[in-house]
Amino acid sequence: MLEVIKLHKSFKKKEVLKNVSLEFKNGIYGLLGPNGAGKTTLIRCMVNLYDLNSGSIEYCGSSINGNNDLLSNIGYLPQKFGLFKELTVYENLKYFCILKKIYKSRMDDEIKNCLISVNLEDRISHKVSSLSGGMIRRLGIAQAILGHPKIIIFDEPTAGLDPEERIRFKNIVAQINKDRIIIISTHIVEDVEASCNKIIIMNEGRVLKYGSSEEIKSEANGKVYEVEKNLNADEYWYVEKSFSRNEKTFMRILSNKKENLKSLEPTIEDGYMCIVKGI
Amino acid sequence: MDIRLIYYDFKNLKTYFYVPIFIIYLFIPVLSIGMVKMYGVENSKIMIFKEVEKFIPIISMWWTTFIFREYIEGDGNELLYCINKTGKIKSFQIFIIFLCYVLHVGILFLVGNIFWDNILFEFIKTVVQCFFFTSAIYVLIYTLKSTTISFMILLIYALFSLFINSKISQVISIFGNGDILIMNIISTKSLKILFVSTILFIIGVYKNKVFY
Amino acid sequence: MNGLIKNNLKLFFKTKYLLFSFLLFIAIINIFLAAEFYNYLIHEDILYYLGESQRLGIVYFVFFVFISYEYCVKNKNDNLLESISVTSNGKFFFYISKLITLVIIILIMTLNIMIYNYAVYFLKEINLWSFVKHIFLNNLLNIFLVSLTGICIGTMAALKLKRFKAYFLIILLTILISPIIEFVPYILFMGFGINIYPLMNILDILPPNLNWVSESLYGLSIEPYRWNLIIFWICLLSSAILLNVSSKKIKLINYISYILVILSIYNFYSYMNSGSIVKKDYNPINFTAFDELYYSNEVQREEKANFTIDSYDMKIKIDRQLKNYVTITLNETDVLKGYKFTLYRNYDIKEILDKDNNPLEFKRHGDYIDVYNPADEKLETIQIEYSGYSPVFYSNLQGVLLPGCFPYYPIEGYRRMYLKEQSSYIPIIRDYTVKFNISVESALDIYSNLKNEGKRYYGEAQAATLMGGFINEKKYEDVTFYGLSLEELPKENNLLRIDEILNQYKSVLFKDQYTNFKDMKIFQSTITLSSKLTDNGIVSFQDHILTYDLSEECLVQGFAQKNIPYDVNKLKVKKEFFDYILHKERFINISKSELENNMIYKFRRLFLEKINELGEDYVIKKTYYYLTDENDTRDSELFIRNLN
Repeated sequence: MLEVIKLHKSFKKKEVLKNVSLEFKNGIYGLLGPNGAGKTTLIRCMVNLYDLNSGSIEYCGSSINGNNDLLSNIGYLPQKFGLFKELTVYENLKYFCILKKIYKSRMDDEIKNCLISVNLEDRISHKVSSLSGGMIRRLGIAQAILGHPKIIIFDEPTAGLDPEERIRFKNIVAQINKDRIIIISTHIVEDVEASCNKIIIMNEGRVLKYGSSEEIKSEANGKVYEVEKNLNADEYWYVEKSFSRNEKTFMRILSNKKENLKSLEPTIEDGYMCIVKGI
Repeated sequence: MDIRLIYYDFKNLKTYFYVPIFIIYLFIPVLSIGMVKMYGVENSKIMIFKEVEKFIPIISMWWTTFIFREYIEGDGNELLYCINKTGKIKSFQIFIIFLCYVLHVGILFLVGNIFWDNILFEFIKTVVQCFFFTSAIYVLIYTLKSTTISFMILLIYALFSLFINSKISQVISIFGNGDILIMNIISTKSLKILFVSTILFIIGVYKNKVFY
Repeated sequence: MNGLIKNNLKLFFKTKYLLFSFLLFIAIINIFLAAEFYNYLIHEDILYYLGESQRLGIVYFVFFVFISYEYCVKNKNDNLLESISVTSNGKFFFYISKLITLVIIILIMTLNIMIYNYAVYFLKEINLWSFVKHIFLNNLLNIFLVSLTGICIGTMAALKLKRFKAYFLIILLTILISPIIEFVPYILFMGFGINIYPLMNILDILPPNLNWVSESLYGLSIEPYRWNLIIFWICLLSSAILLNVSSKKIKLINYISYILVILSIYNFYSYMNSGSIVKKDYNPINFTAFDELYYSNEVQREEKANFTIDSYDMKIKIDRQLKNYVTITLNETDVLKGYKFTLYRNYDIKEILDKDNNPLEFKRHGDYIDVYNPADEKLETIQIEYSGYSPVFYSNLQGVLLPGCFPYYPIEGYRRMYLKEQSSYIPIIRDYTVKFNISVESALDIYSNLKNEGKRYYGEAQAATLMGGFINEKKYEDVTFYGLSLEELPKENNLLRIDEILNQYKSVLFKDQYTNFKDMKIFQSTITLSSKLTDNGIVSFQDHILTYDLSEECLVQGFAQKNIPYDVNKLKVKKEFFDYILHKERFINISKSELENNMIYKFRRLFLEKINELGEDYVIKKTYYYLTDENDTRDSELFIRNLN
C-alpha cells in the first residue's frame, strides 16, 4: 500500500500541495484536476524528484524518500517523453534497464516483453527519432513498466494523442494492472471514467474528493439541468456546454438550487465540475 | 552510476561524438606537423602548445554540453533524476566524460613526448584548463538550464581571454598564451585554476542537487 | 507589430537565461570599455582605443548567434509556431518582430560602445569630422553589422536545422569566424603549401589588424570590400529567412527576397574585386607576406637606364585601387631599341603607347618592364596605362600612402626595391629632378611634396609623394609639416629651430653642401613606412623628408641623408655612422660582453675598433666621404676593413 501522509510542498512562498493525504492499494487511480491543481507536483514528490516540506510518502510502511529499493519499484512516464532520440528503441530501453539496475541476464527478456505489451516489438531496431508521437509515448510506457514496478505513474499520458492511440493506451493499462498501483494523472475526465477504480480530484493543492466514479457522479445528483439558451441565465448557474437541437440552442447547466427545469442524469464530468467549482 | 550509461550517452551523439576525436587525432597533429615543417622540431614547441591551448580546453566542453543537453533540456529529463537516490547528482558522469577526454588528450601528449622533452608540465596545465571548462559548464548548465547559453558564455570567456588584450582578460585568463612553462607557473597559476575549478565543481554539484 | 515587438522585448527580458546572459554580457563589455578608458587617460591613443573597442565585435557576434538561436528556437519547442502559422502572415510577423526586437538590442549595445568612443574623441579635442565619421562607420560595420550577421545565422539555424545540427553549425561557424582559427591557414600554407585563405576569407567578417600597431594615416580597416562581404552575408541569409517565414502568396515579400539575393550576388562580386586593402594577416597576398615571399626568390635586378626622364604627366584615379595614365617624356641621347623601367609588379599594365598613340610592344617580368621601340627614331614620349595596388603602400578610398621612393609610377632602369635580409623596402631615389604634372581624382584630400592647385600637383622634384587620410598640414615658418592627425608628435617646435639643430652637426655632416631647408616639406611617417622602409622610414629627398619623429636626431638624419646617395651596399656603415654621431652615449655604452657575443653587434665592433685604433675624427671623416662618394662601390665590410 502506498500512502501519502499530510504532504506539504511549497516553491518559495507559493504553497502548491496543502496537507495532502491519500492511500493507494492495488488498482488504477485517476488523478483529476484542472491545470495548476498540483497533480504534477504530487507525482514528482512520489517519484522522489522533489524534496518534501513536510509529511511523508510511504510504501508498505517504509518511507520512499531516498530508498533506492522502493524507488526502483516505481515506474514513471512524465508529461513529455523523448529522450535519446538517436538511439534505437532497444538501446533506449536498455539505458533505462541500466538505470533501474535490472540484471543484465534479464534485460533482453524484459525489453522484449515490454515492447510486446506496448505493441512496439517490430520497431525494436528503429531509431527513436523515426517513431511517431504516439509510438514515442508507447515507448515511454514501455520504459515505465520495465522491471515490473509495483507502482506505475503516468503523468498526462494521453495528451496530444489521437483517439486510436488513446484507446490503445487504455488497453495497455488494462493489460498491466494486475497486482500493481497505477496512477494516471490527467485533466481529461473520460480517460479515467472507464478504466479507473478510484478517482482523486484535486484543486489548488488540496484533495477535494477521493472515490469511485459512481461516487463522483453522485456529487452531481439533482444538479444537472438542460435549458434553452434564450432563457435569462441565473447567477448561480454554471454553464457546462451549449448545443443545438431542432434549430434551438440549449445549455447544460449545473446548479445548487432546486430549479424548475428539465433535470438530466449526471455524468462523471458533471460530478467533477461540481466538486471543482464547489457546486 | 553504471559506466554503460556513458556509452549510450556517447552513442546518442552520433557523428558529433567524433568532433573532439577529430580535433585531437587529426587536426592538432596536422597543425603540429605543419609547424614543425615551418620552424623545425625544437623551435616549434612553444608555437604548437600555444595553438593547442586554443582548441583542447574549449573542446573539452563538447561532449559534456551535447550529452547534458538531454539531461537539461530533453523531453522527460526528470526520469533521469528520479530513478534512484544517487542518480540525481550527475557529477560522476561529468567526471567520467572529463576523464575520457583527458585520456585522449593524454595519448596526444604521449605521442608529443617522443618529439619534445618535458611536456609533462604542458599536459598538467592542459588538464587543469580542461577541468576548469568542465566544472564551469557543469555549474552553468544547471544554473541557466540551457546548454547553448552555457556554451556561449564559456566560448565568449575563452575568446575574451585569448584575443582581447586587456588587464581584465589577463587577470581572468586561464590561458598561458605561449608562456614557457616552469614548475613555478604550474605550482602557482595552475594550482589557482585547479582550486577555482574545484570550487566551481562543488557549486555545480549543489546546483545539480537543487535542479529538481 | 508594435505590440508584438513590445511583447517580444518583455519575453526576452523575462526569460531567465536570456536576461542573465544579457546582463552578464553588458557588465563585461562595460567593465572592459571602462578599463580601456582608464588606460586611454594614460596613453591618449584614440585610434588604439577605437581598435580595442572594435575587438568586441567577435564577442558580440558569438553572443548574438547563440542568443538569437535560443530566442527563436524556444517558440519552435513551445509549439507556439504551429498556432501562429495558421493566422494570416502570422509566422512572418512573428519572426520579423523577433528579429526587430533583437536588432533593437543590438542598437542599444552598439550605442553603448559608441558612447565610450565619442567620449574619448571629445576628450582628445582633435576636431576631426572625418574621424567622427570613422568612429560611426567602424561601429556600424564591426559591431552592428557583425551582430546582425550573427542574428541571421542564429535565426536561420533555428528555422531550418534540428538541434544537434544547429548546435554544430553555430559552434563551427563561431570558431571559423573567430580568431581561434586565424593561424591555421598560415600553417597549412607554409607547412604544406595548401592555400585555404580564399575560403576562410569569405567568413572573415571581423575587423582585421587589431593586433598590429594602428596605421594612424589610415585608421581601422573599413574598406568597401568588408562592407561588401558583410552585406553579402546579411542579404543572403535574410532573403533565406524571409522565404522561410513568409507564405508564398505574399508577392511583395518574395520580391524583396529576390532583390536581397541580387544584392548579395552584387556584393559578392564587388568583394571579389576588393582592390587595395590593408590586411596584416599572413595571407600570401596581403601586407605581411606578399612581397616577403616574392622577393625571397632571386627576382631583383639592377641596371641603369641609358636614358633619363624629363617629365611625368599623370592622371591618377584612386578608388578601390590606383589607376594611372602616365605620359613620360624621355631624354635619350641615342636611338634606343629598348627602354627599361621599374614599376611595382602588382600594377597591371593595360597598354603602352608611343607619342602618336601607337601601341608599343613590351615585356613584363615582375617589377621590370622592357618597352621595345619598333622605329629607328627616338620614342621621346611613352604613355602607359595601368591599375592595381600594393598591399603595403595602399591607395584606396580610405587612405593613400604612396611615397615617392616606391615605384608606383614607372622609374627609369631596373631598380632593387626590397632588402630581404631586413624584410624592408629600399627607397628608390633618383639623383636628378624631373617635372611632374599630376591630376589626382580621389575622395580624400591628397597631400604632396609638389605644389598644389586644387586636384593638380605640379613642380620639379626627384619624386612625387602622395599621402591622404588622417593627415593635416601645418606651417612652421619655412617648413611645411604634414602630420598624422591622430598621432601628434612631441617636439613639433623643433621645426622652428631646424637651423640651430643642424648647425650643431655642420662640421661633420654638412661640410660642403649646407642644406637649404627653406620650402622643405616634412611628412610624418606612418607605422608602415617606419617599419617597412630601411632606416626606420627616414627617407630624404631634396625637397621633402619622411620621418617618424621630430626629435633632433631624426631631423638631423633626415637632412643629412639628402647628401648621401642611397646605396644598399653601404647601409651597414651608414647605420653605424649615424648611430655614432646621433646617439654616441648609447653607442659606446653597450656592455663589452654583449658587444663581443651578440651577433647583431658584429659590425659595430669593427666600427668601434677602427675608432679606437685610428681616432674618431679620422674614421668619421673617412666614412662620410665613403658614404657620399657615388663612385666608391665597396661594400660596408670591405670599406671598414680597408680603413687605415
